[in-house]
Amino acid sequence: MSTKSKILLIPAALALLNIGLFAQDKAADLIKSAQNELRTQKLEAARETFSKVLSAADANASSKAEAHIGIATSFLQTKPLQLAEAIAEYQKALAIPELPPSSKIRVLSLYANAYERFTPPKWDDAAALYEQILSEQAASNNDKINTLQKLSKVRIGKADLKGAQECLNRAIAIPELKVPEKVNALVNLASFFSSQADYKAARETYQKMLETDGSEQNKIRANKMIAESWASENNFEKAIEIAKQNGYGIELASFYQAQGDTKAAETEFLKILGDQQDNKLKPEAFNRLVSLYNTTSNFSDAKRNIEAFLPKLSEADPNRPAATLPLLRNAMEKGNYEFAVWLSEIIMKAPKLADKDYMLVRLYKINSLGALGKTDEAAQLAEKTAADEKISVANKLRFKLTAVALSSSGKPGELKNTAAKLVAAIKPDEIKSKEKAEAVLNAAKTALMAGKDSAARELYELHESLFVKETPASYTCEFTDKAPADVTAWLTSPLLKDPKKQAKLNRKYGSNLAFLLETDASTTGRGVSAPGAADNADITTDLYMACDSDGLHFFFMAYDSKVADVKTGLLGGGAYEGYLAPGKGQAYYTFLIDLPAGGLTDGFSTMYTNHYFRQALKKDDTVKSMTLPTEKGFGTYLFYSWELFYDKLPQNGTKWQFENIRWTRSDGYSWAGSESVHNRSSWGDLIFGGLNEKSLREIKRKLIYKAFAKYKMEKSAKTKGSIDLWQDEELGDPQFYKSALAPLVAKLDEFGKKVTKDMSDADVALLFEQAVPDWMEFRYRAAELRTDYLNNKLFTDGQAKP
Amino acid sequence: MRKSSLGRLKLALCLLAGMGCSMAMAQEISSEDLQNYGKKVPEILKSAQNSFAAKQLKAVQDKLAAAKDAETRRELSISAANTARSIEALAALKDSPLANAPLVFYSVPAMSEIMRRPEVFPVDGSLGGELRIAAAKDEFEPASFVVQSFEDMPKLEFKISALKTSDGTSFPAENLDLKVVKVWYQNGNGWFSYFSDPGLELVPELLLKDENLIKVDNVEKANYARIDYQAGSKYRWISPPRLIDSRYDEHGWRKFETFRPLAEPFADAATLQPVTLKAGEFKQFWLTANVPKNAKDGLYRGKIELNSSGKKIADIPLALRVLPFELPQAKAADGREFLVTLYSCPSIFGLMDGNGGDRALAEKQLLSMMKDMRQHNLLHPMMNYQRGEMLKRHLELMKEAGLPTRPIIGNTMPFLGHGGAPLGAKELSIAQKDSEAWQKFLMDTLGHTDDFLGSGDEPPASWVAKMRPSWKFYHERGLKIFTAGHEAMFVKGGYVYDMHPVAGYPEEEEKAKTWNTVGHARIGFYAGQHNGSENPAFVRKQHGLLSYLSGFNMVCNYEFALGPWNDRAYDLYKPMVLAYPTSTGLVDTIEWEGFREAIDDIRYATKLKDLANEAIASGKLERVYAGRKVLQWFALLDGQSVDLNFARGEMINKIMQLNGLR
Repeated sequence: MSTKSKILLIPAALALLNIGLFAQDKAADLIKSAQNELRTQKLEAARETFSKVLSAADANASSKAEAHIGIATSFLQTKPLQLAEAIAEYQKALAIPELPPSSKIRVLSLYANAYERFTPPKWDDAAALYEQILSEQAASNNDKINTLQKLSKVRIGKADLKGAQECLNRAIAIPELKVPEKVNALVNLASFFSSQADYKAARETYQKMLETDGSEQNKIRANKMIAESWASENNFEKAIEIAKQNGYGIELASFYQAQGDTKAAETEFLKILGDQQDNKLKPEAFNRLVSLYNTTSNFSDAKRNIEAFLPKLSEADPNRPAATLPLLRNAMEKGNYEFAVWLSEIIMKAPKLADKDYMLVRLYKINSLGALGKTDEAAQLAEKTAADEKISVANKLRFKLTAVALSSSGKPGELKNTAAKLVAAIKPDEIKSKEKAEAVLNAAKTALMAGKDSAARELYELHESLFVKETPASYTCEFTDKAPADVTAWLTSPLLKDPKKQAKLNRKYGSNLAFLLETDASTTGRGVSAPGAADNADITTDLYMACDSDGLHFFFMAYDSKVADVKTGLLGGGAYEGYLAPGKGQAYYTFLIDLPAGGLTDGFSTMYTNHYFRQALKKDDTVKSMTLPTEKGFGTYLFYSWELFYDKLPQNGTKWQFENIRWTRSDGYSWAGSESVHNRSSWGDLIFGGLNEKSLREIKRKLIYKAFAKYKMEKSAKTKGSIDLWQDEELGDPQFYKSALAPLVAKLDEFGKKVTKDMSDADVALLFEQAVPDWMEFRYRAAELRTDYLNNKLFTDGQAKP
Repeated sequence: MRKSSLGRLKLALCLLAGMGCSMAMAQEISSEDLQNYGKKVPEILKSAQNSFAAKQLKAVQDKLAAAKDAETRRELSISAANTARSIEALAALKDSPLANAPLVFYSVPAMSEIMRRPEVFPVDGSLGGELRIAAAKDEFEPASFVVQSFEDMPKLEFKISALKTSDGTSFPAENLDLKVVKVWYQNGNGWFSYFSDPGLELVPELLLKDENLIKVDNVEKANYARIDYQAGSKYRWISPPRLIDSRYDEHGWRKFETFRPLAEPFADAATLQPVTLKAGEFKQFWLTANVPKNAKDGLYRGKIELNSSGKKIADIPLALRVLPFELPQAKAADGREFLVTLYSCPSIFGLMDGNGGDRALAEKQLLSMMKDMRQHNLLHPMMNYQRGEMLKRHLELMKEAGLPTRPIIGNTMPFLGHGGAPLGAKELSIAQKDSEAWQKFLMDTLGHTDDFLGSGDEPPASWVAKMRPSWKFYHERGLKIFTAGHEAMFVKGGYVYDMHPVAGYPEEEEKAKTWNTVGHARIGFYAGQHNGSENPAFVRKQHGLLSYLSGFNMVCNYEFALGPWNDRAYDLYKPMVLAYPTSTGLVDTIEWEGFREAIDDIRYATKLKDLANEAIASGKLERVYAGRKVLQWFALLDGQSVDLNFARGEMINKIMQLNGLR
């Protein structure tokens, strides 16, 4: 071979060498890389990389098995789990020729575990695989102990507690166990007993542990477990006794704490911390002490002991102050701002705070300083934080806004302008609109905490100005001689054919129906309520209203593509929830109507019936509803009688409040844009139209008949009438009747003579003004007169006798 | 003037108002009425005897003539109509000192559905009427009046004179407590429901000694609380929008209120401070008599003197009838105690949560609140403690406050029954150990095990079925169990629960009936409605006779929320507050008074039924009939629509009648 050829051969040899020498490394590198992808939830990428392992020339059986395991794991990290795919991978792994026994055992164990993750778990399949591991010649004692523990859990899953215990006893009975192996098997059995709250058996097992291994390490471990088992059954005295006997300081303190004796727990932690020796438990004792103070919110003792012990601990671990973060959060939660300022300064010294904590510690200090009235100091820190490179762009804006808010003069509008400029100065690609809006809101919170009320108000206004407001809903409810008064009448009514009369329940419930002026509205969680957003076969709902001399008539047409299924009950039909108020500041009525039944629920009362308000009750016919299916959905009719509102009759242009939400099978959609139920501010205006003297007179005329009929019922025992009652010599009080009630009855009876089918307009006016109120509320008038009558007796000297 | 004419005067008021009579029943005057009064004002001005009122009405009319925008015109029209109505009413009081006084007053029912805002005319009031309180021994009873001034009065002072009977017996002045009703901003659902709303409306609610503790800004629509720092007082905005009233929300747990009433130097005055009256507006006042057990029965009379700038303006006649009997504690129909509890009552840890973690202060605050609860008939405030030193201390404080500690209600059990499987050995063992530990703790602490422990909340019926074996351990040790929820819980747990707050309305007697058929459980409604309404008459009805007549044997509504003071703090619900926390205790509200009256109604019903049953048992026909008539009266009462002021008066009358037959 010539020198030249030798030289030419070198790259080829190197290539061969590469295959030979680095074959393992290449597969291993791929595995390592894929596992990183798994950890960071890049599941597709991980699967791809693991697949490369399988085709890598240098991959051996073991690395191939790892690749299949990795792919299976990726399937087990998906939502929902892809169990079948994972199992297929395990099966492929088991089929690899010359699979090393250790790999086989690992695959079998994971394979079994996959069966446990089915819903419901496939316990028997899992158990079979575990048994297969146990039958493997190459299975070590530890493999068997671990597998039997897993098998025991399978038995527990099958509610076979006896079988579970047997598995663990099998582990203990494995021949020629080494001492640590036997100890592990005993620990597993004891844990089983503890999990079944059989603490006595657990302790007996720990005792065997002590007998098996006399080493100091095992003695400590076993005794701690014994103590913990006493504590688990609320026998803290015993747990404390063992901890004391054995000098388990941390555990002793924990038992005191669990027992509710926080003072003793504190003493024990302080003993460890005050130990002159270099006690390795000090960091843990410190952390646990901080946690104790966190539980008790004992900030004064916390301050004293953090001051006493943290400096020394920080010498060994400069980041130790970070351990007190929970206490800072607690101080903020409780509003102990003095303490929070003090502690935040300490925590700020920790060099390795996570980014979020780094920001929060500063925020808490700013908020606390503000709350303590130290607004200048707070503003300075906010400004400094806004310039800090470790702070995100969004938070920089927050702190900039905070700084200007805290140092604002209070001159109306000034801060709002400055803040708006700061917000506008942020380029759209730097942070999202949502983050900008949040920054403004967050700065407002700090301003409020600092008592800078006008600054908080202006920032809030700025925040609100970043959103587009929905146009308030309104509907002109026209008076008509005869409004449709059931579903069929509405379906054939010309009103339904008039597009001007149609409104829609097309504003999505739960959203405030505003969106950010900039483009990323979808990220704000606030839906856009463009007309037609709810224009879908199953959620479209039309709304119509009218009024006549009887009352208010509503019609809702709920479109539904599944009418047949809803009628048979296979699908839910949804429901309506709505509100009607006869003006602002008045008690409102709630209607709840189920579809398809159309049943109206008596229920939510904003007031009980009284002299000034009447509940709308089905039994009184003051409210009615009915629903009928149509080809396209369900038509619902709803009626409210003027009887409810005789003392609040509207005039032309009078505004009442109304809202209706349809709970569809998917979401809720409303007419006026309710953000939540009973969200009165968002209700729309029901504006009366077409009312004139004549129509009002017709309303009043009908009310006179109703009121007089109601009054006449007061004369009958059958209707538990109060006039009948008070005249009764045994059950009433004729003296009261004669002196107090009879004059009113006489007057009202006299008015009654004018009630005829052809009352004159003048009589209608007279009776409505002077008789209707007392006819309608006679029971309350009688009750008030009776109260006065009894009071007069009670408050006259010498008259208080029965 | 004598009360005997007051009934007639009220009727006269209605008749004088003409068309306004019907409209006046509405809480706000109607547009039609406003128009009518607008037309009548010149005539009313001409006939006005009260020069102050005439001057004020004239001033309003002048402003009205100059006003341009509709809202201002409406406000001025209402003011004019209100003064015109008072002038009309004064015509019937020609000989009264009020006839030409710079202010008038109306005695009004304390318990009323009418939202008494500054512009709302007291249609149910008695002009110049005697303020009357009829109370049994061991009862707190309120009375109320509304003052309308015809000129701005920056400092009106009140002085209650000694009350005396005709034979000279005095009623202790310290047992009369006068407060002003503060109208402030509540969310848009104020007065009517427990739901939240971002809007704000003026609602009467707080009972204050110092009305300036809360400042109301009608331009900004905002409430401010005065915090009295050593360096000086400062007002803090306490009604901001929910989105910015959040002092700690970075860890998924939001602390809503920036204002911390338990931690700040924020407290009401000890005595009624001078109040400010604005010309034409109405302001309500609240007088509570605390009649001790040992008070002598009889009719006491005195007055409340109204002074401004050192000059007497008017006297409000005051009468207290101490009834010749003591009110018993409320009893249910079966003779057991009618238990009164509410969810979320104050605790040491809850108060520490709000006061900056100060345990000693929390205990002091709790004791003060417990005394207040005792005085408002909330005898069994629900607790939510683990076993331990803090619960022991809580129970000690209860005793100190005069609250009974048998039974006690609440405290926690381990939450078991996760998932679909039946309870396993471990869970049963946990329940057993827990029941043993509770038994030991309660026996050591109280000497009994009458604690209704809470197990879960609003669970599905399947959970109830699953949990039953675990509750047996508690029952074996004399402990009691409750869970709140829906009807299905009766299907699975009717025999096992000792107490059950039923989701529903107090009028749903069928819900009580099913449980009462089994018989042993304590049943109370919750959620229909939850607390939150400021309407005292509504709160009185739902927690009182309505519940009682429906067959419920306890009050267990949700909840006794310790604030927040910001009614817009939550997104779905209104804060379910009955009384507001301060650094020294609770600030009373009109709905908290309504709650007390609710239970007092049941106490009166208890007294009356006891007497009725005693009469029936006497065997003497006259008494037997009298007793039965009382029971018949109860049977015919419609809990939903009954006028409770009437019902109370009738119960007193019947008690006196039955006493007379003894």
